Amino acid sequence: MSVANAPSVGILGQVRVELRLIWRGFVLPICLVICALLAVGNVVNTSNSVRADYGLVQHTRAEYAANGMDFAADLKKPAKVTTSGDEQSVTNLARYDYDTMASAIIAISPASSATESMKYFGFLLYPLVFFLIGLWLATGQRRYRLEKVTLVRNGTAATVAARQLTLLVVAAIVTATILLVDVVARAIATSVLAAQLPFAAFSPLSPQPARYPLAQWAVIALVVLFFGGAGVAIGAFAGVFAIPAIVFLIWDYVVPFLGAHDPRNWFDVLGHSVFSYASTFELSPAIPLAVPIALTASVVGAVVLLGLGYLGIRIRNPLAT
Amino acid sequence: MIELQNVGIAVRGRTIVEQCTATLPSATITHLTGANGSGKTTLIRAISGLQRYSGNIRFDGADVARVRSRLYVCFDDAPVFPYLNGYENVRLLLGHALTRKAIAAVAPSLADDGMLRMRARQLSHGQRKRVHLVAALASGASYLILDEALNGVDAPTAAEVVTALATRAPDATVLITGHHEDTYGALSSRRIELVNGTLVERRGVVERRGVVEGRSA
Repeated sequence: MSVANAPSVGILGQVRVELRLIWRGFVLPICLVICALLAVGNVVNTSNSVRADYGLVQHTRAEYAANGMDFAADLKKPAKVTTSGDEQSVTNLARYDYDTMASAIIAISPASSATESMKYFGFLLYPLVFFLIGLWLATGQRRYRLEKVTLVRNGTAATVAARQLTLLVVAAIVTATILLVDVVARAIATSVLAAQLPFAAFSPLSPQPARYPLAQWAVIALVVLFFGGAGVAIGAFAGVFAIPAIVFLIWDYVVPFLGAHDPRNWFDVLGHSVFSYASTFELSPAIPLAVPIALTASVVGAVVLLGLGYLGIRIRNPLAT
Repeated sequence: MIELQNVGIAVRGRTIVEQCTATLPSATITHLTGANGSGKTTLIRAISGLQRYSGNIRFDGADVARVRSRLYVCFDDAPVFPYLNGYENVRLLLGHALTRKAIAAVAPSLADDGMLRMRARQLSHGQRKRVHLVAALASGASYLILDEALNGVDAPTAAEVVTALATRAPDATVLITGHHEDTYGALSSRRIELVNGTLVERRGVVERRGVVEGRSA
């Protein structure tokens, strides 16, 4: 190869390098296997919930019969749920249990895969998964002292941009894998359950909650950008993987919300605003905060974290060698 | 050609290099020498754009940001990704695809197919250095910086590297550091020494690359 045709690597070339490293470093394969197993587990859980809901309907039907009440007549009247403190009371148990069963059947169908899987993964696992992936992208090469090679070849801005782009590509791969496994698992679960339970007898009587697919995907993308960006930024400053990973794990899963402006609460507010949590997985209740404020804070936070990733690598740059 | 004009480097308030001025001509191997801790690696980091400095460093008149695709630095610690084999590490170091055939053809006696097929974690430090040298030779770079790159490499192989440089990158500006005067003196056409933070030209060791080629042939 002559000097004249030495190829320029560029950001996309560096994205390919980062993807190769995250794949051959076993981070992405492990992540995909865990997510696939959890997707199957989520569907198994949901199908158990369908069986439990059907059991409740049958139990209520038997109670109605034992008390001489008309189950079919009550189905035509709406159920009313009132909450007092921690207690919930339901008028018209027949309709309530029927609606719950009808919703569970809709939730487990392959057509609900995107919404049902993302409302579970997007808020329970994505923050951790993409923080760790961002952290690994920012520290993996440094661990093997390869970062200086990358920095010489690309410079700081292109290196950080490539990592952030890689994060998005990885998010697409992880999400596509989850959806694929989830759809197949739901199709199998639906066919098995439909052979055992009278699905046709539970056509929805009440209007289903509104779905906002575009808004749902936008919020999921924001989760990836925010927490993945946090991983890249914190990794660039810290330079090590283990300590930030442990601190994040404790913060995300052990420490309660630290206030309305705890980033986890911003995403809780957004999650409740675009997803309907009335099935197996329940997102924790959010500390009250207006949706526009939560949205603005999380978008600004994601942008600031993207910038901090660049600043971090510039500050750490002399130590990278 | 790489030009250093009044280059000064301070790390945590301590001056490492001050008022360094030198011209590293094209088609020349310049040997940068100096005592341990004299700042050779720090100066190389500055030339590579990894270290803040005062003054000017120009690559044929251009800033490092404009010549990244034509600059290759062989670092003294020879970093590699342990889960990739030698071929894949060469591609990783270059940042772009290159066929096995093209990599193996660079310098067969420097790194043979058997060695390049091994996972990097199985390679010794000397073998990792060879992987880096193969990448440097395959890079097609106009500016090659080899920091202690020939340490741990035997004399015939070192001569082969220089021959390969003359063949594959005859117009390249090559800066090489190392302590073994005998080896580097024979390989380089010019020697500069970093003494008390400044660069000093050392004469009396000048040999043309052609002479070195002739020796190794």
